[in-house]
Amino acid sequence: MSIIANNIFSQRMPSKQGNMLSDNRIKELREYVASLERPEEALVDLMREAQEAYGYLSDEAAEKVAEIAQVPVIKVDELATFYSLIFRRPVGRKVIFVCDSISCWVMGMENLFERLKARLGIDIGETTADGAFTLLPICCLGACHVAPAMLVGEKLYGNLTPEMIDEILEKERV
Amino acid sequence: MPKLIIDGLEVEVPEGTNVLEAAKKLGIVIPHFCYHSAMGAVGACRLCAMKFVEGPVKGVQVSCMIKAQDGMVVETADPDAMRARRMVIEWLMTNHPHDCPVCDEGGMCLLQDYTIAGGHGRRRYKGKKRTYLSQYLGEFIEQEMNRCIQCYRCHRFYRDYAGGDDFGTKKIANRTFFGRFKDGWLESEFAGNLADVCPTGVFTDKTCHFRARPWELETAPSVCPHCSLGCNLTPGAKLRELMLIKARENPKVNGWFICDRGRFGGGFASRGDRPRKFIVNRQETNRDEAVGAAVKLISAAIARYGPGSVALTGSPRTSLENNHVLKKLADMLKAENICFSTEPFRDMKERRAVSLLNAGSRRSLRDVEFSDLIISAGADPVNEAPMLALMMRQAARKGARVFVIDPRPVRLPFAFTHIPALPDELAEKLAGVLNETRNDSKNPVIICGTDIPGIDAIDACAAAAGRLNCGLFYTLSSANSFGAAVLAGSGPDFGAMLSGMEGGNIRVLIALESDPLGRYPDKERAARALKKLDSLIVMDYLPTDTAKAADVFFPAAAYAEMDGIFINNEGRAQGFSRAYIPGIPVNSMGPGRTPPELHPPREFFSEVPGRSFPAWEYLGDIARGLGMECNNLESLETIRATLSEDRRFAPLAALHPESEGALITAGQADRPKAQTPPSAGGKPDTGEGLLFYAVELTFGTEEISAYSGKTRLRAPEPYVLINSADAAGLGLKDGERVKVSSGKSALSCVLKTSASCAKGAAFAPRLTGFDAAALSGKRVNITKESV
Amino acid sequence: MLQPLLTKNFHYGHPATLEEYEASGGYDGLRAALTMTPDEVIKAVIDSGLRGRGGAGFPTGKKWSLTDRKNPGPRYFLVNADEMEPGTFKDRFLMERDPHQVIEGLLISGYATDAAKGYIFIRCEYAEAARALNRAIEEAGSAGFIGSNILGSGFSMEISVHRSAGRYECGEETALMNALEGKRANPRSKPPYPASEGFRMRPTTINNAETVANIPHIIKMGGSAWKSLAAYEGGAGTKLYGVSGRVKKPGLFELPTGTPLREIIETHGGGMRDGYFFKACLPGGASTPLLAPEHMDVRMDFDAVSKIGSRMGTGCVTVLDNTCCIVRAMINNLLFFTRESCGWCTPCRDGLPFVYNILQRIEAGVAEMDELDALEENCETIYPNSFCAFAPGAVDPVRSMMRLFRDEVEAHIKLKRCPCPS
Ligand SMILES: Cc1cc2nc3c(=O)[nH]c(=O)nc-3n(C[C@H](O)[C@H](O)[C@H](O)COP(=O)(O)O)c2cc1C
Ligand code: SF4
Ligand code: FES
Repeated sequence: MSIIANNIFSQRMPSKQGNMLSDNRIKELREYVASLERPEEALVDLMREAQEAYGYLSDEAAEKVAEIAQVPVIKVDELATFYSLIFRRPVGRKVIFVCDSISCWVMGMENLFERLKARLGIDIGETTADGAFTLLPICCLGACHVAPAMLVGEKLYGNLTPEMIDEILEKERV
Repeated sequence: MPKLIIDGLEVEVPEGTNVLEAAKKLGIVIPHFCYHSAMGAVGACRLCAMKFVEGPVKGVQVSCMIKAQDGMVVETADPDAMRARRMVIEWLMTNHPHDCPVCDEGGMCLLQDYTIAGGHGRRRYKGKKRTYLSQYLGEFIEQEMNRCIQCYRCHRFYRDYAGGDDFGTKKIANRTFFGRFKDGWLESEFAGNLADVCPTGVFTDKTCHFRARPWELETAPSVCPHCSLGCNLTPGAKLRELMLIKARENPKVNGWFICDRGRFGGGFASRGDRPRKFIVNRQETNRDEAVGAAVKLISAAIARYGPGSVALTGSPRTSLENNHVLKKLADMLKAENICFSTEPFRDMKERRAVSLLNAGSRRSLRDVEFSDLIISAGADPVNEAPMLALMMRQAARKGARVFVIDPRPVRLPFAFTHIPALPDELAEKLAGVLNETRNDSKNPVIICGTDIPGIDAIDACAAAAGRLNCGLFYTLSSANSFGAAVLAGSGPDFGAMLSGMEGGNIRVLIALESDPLGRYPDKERAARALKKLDSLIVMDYLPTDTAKAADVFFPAAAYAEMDGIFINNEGRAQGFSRAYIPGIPVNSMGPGRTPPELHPPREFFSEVPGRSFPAWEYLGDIARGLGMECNNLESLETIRATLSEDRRFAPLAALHPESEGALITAGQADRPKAQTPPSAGGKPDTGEGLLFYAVELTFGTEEISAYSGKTRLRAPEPYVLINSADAAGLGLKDGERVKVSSGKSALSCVLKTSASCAKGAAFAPRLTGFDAAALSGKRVNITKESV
Repeated sequence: MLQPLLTKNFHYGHPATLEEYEASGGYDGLRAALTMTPDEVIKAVIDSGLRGRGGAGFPTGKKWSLTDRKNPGPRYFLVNADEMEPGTFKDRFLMERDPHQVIEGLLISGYATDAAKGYIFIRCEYAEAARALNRAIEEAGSAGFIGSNILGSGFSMEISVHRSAGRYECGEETALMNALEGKRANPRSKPPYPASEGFRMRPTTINNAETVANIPHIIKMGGSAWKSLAAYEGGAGTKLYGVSGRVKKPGLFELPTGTPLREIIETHGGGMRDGYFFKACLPGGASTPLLAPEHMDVRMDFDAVSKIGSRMGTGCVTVLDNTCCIVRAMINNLLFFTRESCGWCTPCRDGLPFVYNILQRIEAGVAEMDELDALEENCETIYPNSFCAFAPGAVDPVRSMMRLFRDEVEAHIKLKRCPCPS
């Protein structure tokens, strides 16, 4: 049983109440954390869940995580700002991560960026005016066999050409 | 003890010493940033590279991370090692701003020194410098992150060493940032040490920003006057203004650090309203006139009423020499009414505690760090003796168990066991904890307060320590409480003197750096009694109520302005030296602040304006004026010589200001009797209401620093603290304004509640303008304040 | 033709279910191991000659035998599935296609090192792999392979998946332990070594996911039989080789260890795409020094590749074609490393941006010749003086560029522009 319990975070739990962690969920998480020998070990999972609920790890979200894990909020911030996939600033509804590592570079990732920037009208690191997309580079996605590759949200796209970008944006825009 | 060869020189060092320290022992100082004796080696800056030629480790290595071992042969000037060190500096300089000319660290900056030492003079890096936005961290510490070299010392001090939890390391790579979650005051009482541990100008002392270069400061080895621990520090003054105080290392006392009260408490010395004039009958005069007036008043009283009509109060906050000369004066006058504190109950308890310490049981502040079991009874370390909390934390980090028996919800920067108990129950709870823990501890220490515990608890701690072979550590009220207590012995207390004044037997009071009107718990009684005096002679550097009421006033020199000795709570006598000559700071005479009669035209003085002198000089003058034979009060040397005639003070002969101090034992001969009835305060009466105690806070209650504008910034609003259930019982809520009353006395303040506060008690800080002391030891009623 | 071991269930195209895995002999290795003593299991792994697949090639059996098993425990076994080395995509397949294999390997590894708990540390972006593993853990748990008293053997072990949040340094073993403990993933100093004080300051063994996936086969086949799968005398077992870059059939291939680079690229990777020539390759990730055409016949094995001045690393080859400017390739590499540096030590944190800047200046045609001295001095000083292996890996390819492609680098400076066809 404990195995299941320990894995509770690996399953994505959609939040129930709009954009916030629901009170019920917070209670559940607090109980889970209290059952842990070292609450700090749950911080990454908690941050990820809070980020999903809030869209990004806002100050409020960070404080909530600290409160659930019963750690000083600076500990949350230390981790949040260390990791590349925890966002302390608002991002679009979907983040487009374009792999900018070596194999994708060989296969022309620079052209992808150009196309994306042109189509979205934003620079790297920026969010579109409608809040749909944020464009970010990311380290090698482990998809070199289908380079150049990118992630939109959690969906992987490979063997990309600039032409394919338009179609993907169309499909992913919600 | 491993032996190794560094640059051809053999050195033997204790097991576990790193090679960087071993080289230091030979006088070979290799640059290093991240290594710090207190915080250890982490190998982050990579600056301390040396070449390991022979032995178990080979090649260029950072020497802080390598333990000295037999057979090692190390070269510090090897070209590869030199190149590594040179490149580290070059890397660090790629981002460092060239603002040395306006940087407060300039002149005491390790990066500046090492850059020059390593010869890096030509910039090869052509990229842009990384820049940061700094944070607002309160009024004590200024942050300028652009100067950061990421040695991680600040994080390691603040979080690991001091246990603060509102500061840390953020971001990554060369954007790594050290700061808080959001802008705001650093919360730790030890935050000021960031200015000392930071090797560059990221964290600097904001209180003297842009006002002095380090080389302009007049400094001297000194000892903190703000609590009984006697931490070592270096005060720095510019143009007669005490500006910058830095920690000074004493491996037996404070280690490397000091608390923020010690660092930022110096504002009293440069206050605009500091009394700097000789006064006789409200008229400004000169030193000779003042001495003459005092002599006349004293001799008149003696002639008319006899020597019993003159009373003298020394002070736990002034130097041993000052108090000693006061005592000499009393001896010469044959005046028996002398004491060294104006808070009789605390005085009695401190004298008792001091007499109970002996060579076997006493522990130094630093020893606490190496205890494996700490039981604290009736002490609130962070508030009463801040650096003690830091030492206790170090012990806890090494695995010590810590029990705190105290009615207050004591807060410490580490996890410990709190046992809420009323002062009456301390002895019993102590016995309980000792029973459970003593057996499996090698190096236990009992810490005991002397503020809220009664004499029974103080005795019980000593008895337990004696019986069980434990260490014993009392916290006292002031920097020289120990010295004052030794001089006081079983002599009278201030309560007895008040009775003398009330009865008309005492006609003259000489108050040496003591403030009966402000510090005697029953202020009204003190005021009534002092009014009956024929004359009040006061020497002080603080604008106290007593100083203001003086008939004859002598402006005295404060700790950084004179040489002297404080004896700390352990009995460790430590010398402090004069850093600067006291007088009106030039800055308060400058443009805009110059009195119109001085500018223009400008007058030039041959003397320091507003100069004050150590009180012992005035006392000597008075003795001579009275026609006493007193050549031996002429200089500090002769004064110390007469001190050492007392066998207890013999160790002082070997004392010098930069030593680790000399240990003094009070001895039991003079021990005040346990049943000495306290003339004020004492065991609380029984009856209705909560037991009320006036207590200390890190900021705002200690007598001297309470006059410092900087530390006042961190003093809270007056409050009374009680148990949450008690509050509920009284129908009161946290944060409400309440009235605390007993008989005719009443206080108005905010209510704080805590679940870990003992039931049946109430606590309030002795803040300026908030007369908590008046109610101390009484039973009080707390009611909602009607608007 | 080699019988596939690691990849035999890859053809399903979905994570092999417990049923599918058991049909291919799954969990037989665990059953067999549980009848052996932990020392016998370790002996089998020593006999197999298995070397760590995380990149450094440390002998796995030896690592296990160093684990402090006298310590009263608990002990931990960690699977490093962080896989953030650019150019590398092998662990992803193992977890996405045959998660049970990794789990079985972890269970046997845990048994051999007497670990009470195993963690699979997986990078954030591998969401699908994390899901596959978690599903497999549940299946295996219900089947009695995980938990207390596994298969009645008296051995108990729990397994968790930890999904990280993205940073290359998390893959460094001691940084990984910090990350798992909820701390910033800075590396720790050694000693103390993880074998005595690792995760939670307890004895800990850590292996790469591919290393662990090999274990069931070693137990089933016996150490020496497995060893003899290698392509040459002295090698050991099979290895997942990847090829990416400008080749016709980029992909992942299970081949005998020691298969020559040429065969991997030309036979399995299909050779260069039409119109392109082989210029250089990173043999096993972005931290491995470049190989040039003259190195094509090297056997892809730890020792052989080391001998010619590079490292086999992860065995996933990135092929650069003739249109790739070598300086730009290194700029790309350094961008990755400067961004990912954990910020702990000076050479890496502040030295790599210096290197990056010089490379950019060279590429932009604004550098002077003497900046090459600064470049080399930087690389040569960063390499031996950093805290962990990150920074050496960052500058090693640049050092190889200066050895193998100095002419091209100097041409940038002389011509004040990039000489490569764009
Ligand atoms: C910066 C850095 C990143 C690393 N990343 C990984 C990684 O993602 N996966 C991995 O298996 N090993 C990685 N390693 C190697 C590990 O530190 C460690 O050597 C390895 O997990 C041991 O497993 P093995 O013996 O099975 O190879 C990395 C090392 C360094 C210095
Ligand atoms: S080399 Fe230094 S800065 Fe770079 S990752 Fe390792 S410890 Fe961090
Ligand atoms: S002092 Fe040795 S690495 Fe910083």
